[in-house]
Amino acid sequence: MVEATRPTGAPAAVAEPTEIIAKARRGDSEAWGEVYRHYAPAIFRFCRRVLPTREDAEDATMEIFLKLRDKLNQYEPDRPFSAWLYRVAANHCWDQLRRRKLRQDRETEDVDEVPLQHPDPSQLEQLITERSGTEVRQALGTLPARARMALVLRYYADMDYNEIADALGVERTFVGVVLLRARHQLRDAMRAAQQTLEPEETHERSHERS
Amino acid sequence: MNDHTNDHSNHFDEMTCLLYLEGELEASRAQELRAHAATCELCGAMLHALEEESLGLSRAFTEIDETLPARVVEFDQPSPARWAWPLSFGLAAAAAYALWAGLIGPVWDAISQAGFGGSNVLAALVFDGAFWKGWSSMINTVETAALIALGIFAFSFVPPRLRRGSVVAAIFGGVALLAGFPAPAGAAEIHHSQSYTLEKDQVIHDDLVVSGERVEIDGTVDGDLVVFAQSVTIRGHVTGDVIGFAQYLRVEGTVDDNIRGAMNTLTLDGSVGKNVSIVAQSVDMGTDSKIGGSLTCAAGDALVDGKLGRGLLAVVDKHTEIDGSIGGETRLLGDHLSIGSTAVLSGPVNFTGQAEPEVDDGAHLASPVHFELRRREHRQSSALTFVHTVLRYGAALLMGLLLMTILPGFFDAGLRAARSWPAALGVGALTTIIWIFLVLVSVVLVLIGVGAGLATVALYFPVAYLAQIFVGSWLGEAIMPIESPSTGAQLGRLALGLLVIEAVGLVPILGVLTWAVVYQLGIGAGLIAIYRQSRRPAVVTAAA
Repeated sequence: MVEATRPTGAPAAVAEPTEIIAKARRGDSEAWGEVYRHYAPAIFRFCRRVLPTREDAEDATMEIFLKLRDKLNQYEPDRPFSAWLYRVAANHCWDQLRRRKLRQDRETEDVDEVPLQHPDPSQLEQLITERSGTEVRQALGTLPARARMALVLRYYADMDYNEIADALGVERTFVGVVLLRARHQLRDAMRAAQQTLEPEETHERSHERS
Repeated sequence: MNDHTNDHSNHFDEMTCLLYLEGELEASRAQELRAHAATCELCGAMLHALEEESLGLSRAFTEIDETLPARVVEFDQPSPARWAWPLSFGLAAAAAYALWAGLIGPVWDAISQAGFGGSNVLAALVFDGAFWKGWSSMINTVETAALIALGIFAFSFVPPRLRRGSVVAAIFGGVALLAGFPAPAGAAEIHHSQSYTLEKDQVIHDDLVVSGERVEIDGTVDGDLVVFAQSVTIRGHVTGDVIGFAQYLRVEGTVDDNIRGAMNTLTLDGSVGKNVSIVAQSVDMGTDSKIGGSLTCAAGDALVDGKLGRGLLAVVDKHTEIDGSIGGETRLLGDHLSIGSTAVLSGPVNFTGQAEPEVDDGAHLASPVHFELRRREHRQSSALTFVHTVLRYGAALLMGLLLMTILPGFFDAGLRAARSWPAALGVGALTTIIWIFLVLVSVVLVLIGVGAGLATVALYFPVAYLAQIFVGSWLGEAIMPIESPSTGAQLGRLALGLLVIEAVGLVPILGVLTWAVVYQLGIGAGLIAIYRQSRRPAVVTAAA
């Protein structure tokens, strides 16, 4: 029996260098350098998943850390630093997408519309287990911005529903719907990629036989 | 929200299953679902599939699929403290002084010890303004280096978010454009050809800068003559100075001012109004030759048969023969001195050499030769060596600090390359061989390229410092292994590593070997680092 669990993303699971963060808060630039070295790779990957191009992700990573440095005195040390970090990152990226009018997904659509199609569990499991990380990420790239963002916030940044609602500007009760629909869109994208690949594979095999 | 079973009337829908897994379902519903799924195969399978999907997504998202790009790595690292800039300038000054003290100082000392204290032989030879006029390739190198430095400096002011390939290209393109602008035309006439002849009745009312395999001046240069050539013959008249770099320089005509330069052989049969200051393998002053002022030279052999208005100040490796007349003081450091019967020496004669001078009975000397036996093995004083060592150490340390703060990526790459020392040593040795070959080709074989050759040699010094830094850091790291060290710790390790190198470097034979290995290894590491740094963006793009 599967228990109700919260999947934990790797970045949050890493122990936080609290002492260095405290030093950085007091204005120690060496410590800030340490903080940057510690978290920049994770934030870069976050941006890479959410934003359309690598250069966007690079720019966003640097801009996020510039913001963080300014806002460091607003951070409350009794809360996890990475959660705060991802919230700033999520807000920044979402702003970027909005400003650049890249959120041309079906935002006008009602967010409470639940996907009606009920998947076959065995097919679903097969789909996810057979796809490599690269294929999943490629499929993610084809998703509308909000769907992509929701999945990354939940399954990479390990944000809870309140935080996701806050970052995406939707009501908390609809976060589940947004996530489920995003999953459906991702499955569709993976199936589509599979279908475009398959004829080629068949073609190659027939060549091998001949 | 639809959280009931839909078309599967007896089962929980996907949404409810997801909310349950996410811990978002209210307790009573969760309890209900848990009880149902325990007996319902379809709902159990659905929960399992969704859970797998969640884990799969986490895995796919957290997977490290590409490294952090260099510009992001280097961004927002602790910026060099305010004192770093004054320190950098201090470093530059220290490095320049160390170069002066290490390279030029010893020669200076040797000349001073020969009794020429106060007569600034090298200052006159090297730093006279006219000297630089012809050294165009050196000046070009210096200017280019300055422009590149300026470009890097300007680049440091570009906001990090703009540091993209296109911006870098634009800045360096601009720098290249600046470098490509034609230099404002100088006052001098400049010629470069295989062979140049200034005909007998020709007059140039200007400075003449000329390079070629064979240069003949039969006419008049009403100004300075700056010449780079294999063979130079002056039969005409030069009213200013002659600055020459040549294999053979022969003066049969008249030079009103001075002759300065470096050459293999200087043959003087004409007259020079003022002084001759040269470095040459062989100096031959013929019977009819005349120098109004003094002859100052560092030479392999010297033959003074002509007339010197004032003194002779010379460091001569082997043999000096004087058959002419010298109006002033003679101060000489060398192996052997012969004074012939026709010699007239009006001033005092001081000779420091390996053997007593041979003085012919017919020679006219104002006073007997003051002779001092020279100890061949005379070396620099240990105090001076110590000062040089300390200066070199300080300069290398400061340069290391500069590298760590300004180019941490390059510093790390160099250190990594030094860790795999066999490869670095191989690359370094190969580079040195090519380097020596280039210097030989440009300086010895084609004397025309002496400026470029000197520039190549000059380039060796910063590279040699870089070599010390990489090897020093590597050694320090081996002695004090620290996980992810701070800049302070890195500097401490560099200081320790350099100290070890300097200490071992002081041991007589082992020292030379040590320095040879340090230079090869360090140069190799530096080159590998440059290669890797230049390759890095390409790798990242490929991964993306």
